[in-house]
Amino acid sequence: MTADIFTEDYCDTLCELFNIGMGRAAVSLSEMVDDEVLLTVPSLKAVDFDSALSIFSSNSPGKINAVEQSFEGQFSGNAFLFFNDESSLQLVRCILGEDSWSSELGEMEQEALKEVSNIILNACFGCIADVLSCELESSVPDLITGEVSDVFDIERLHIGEDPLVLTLSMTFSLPSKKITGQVSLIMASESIKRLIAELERFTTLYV
Amino acid sequence: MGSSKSVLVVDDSRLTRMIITKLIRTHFVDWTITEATNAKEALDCVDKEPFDFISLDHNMPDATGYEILPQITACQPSAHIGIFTANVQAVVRQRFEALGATFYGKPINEAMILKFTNKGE
Repeated sequence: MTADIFTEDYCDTLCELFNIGMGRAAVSLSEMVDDEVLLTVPSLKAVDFDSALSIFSSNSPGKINAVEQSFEGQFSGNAFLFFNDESSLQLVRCILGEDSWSSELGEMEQEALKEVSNIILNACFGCIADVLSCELESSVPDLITGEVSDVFDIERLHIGEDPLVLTLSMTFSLPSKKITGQVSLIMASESIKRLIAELERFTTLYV
Repeated sequence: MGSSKSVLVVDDSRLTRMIITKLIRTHFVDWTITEATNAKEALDCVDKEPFDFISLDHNMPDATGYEILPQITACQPSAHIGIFTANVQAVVRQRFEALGATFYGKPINEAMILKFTNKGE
């Protein structure tokens, strides 16, 4: 299966669902940091696993911090929200306060990053499940730190055959800080087909 | 439901335009619906013809709804403008409401469209 199967229309639909999810997450985030969270227009692309690795490596050289949550339901896969090191620290400082000026993520900072990622990813899962009228169960979040190739290690992920990566780039910023995060879903081909069926069923309602 | 009205649907998401269009057509078969896929197209449309209702997205690639709302209002002071956005933060809602627009948080449903289209009837 190639990434072409996930057409522009499916990308548009799923992107809008993520957009709504991120909007909900922004409400929680803005309460946590007591400030408005500015969101950029998201874009979503479907790429094969090897292409995703090379895109991520080129966009995020060096160490990244990724929070991973698997999800199961009508379709399943692994979701990642990842930030480069600087964005991770900026985000954590916003949540924990400016007193947290550690140059790396300690235990408290890691917990904060996992919690905020949990809020963002679950807002996205919740929105997709609500709109598509399905149920998605998600695992507890896990923080993985390392190079892109360490995070997206196909052997560690046990993702199933012929995986595709659906990747959503979105920047959220506070008036004084720009934090760029990226959400990626890695799904096996069978799950991608089930997701497509759900998206088709949903969009047919509005044709 | 009264005489035919005209609606401008502004959203960069094809899905959202489809949903709003479908829900309006379900209740108002003879209404005229025009779609704009970004802020520039929206401003071109409001320059060319009058609309009774304008649904406006906030986060768009070329400008925000907040940025173009004053121009739209100046061009079409009698249009009822509804903001349909995923950015449901209280501060965003308050900012739009202060400008006289009605705020609707996505996902869009039939009740929202009925409320939106009955305004100004």
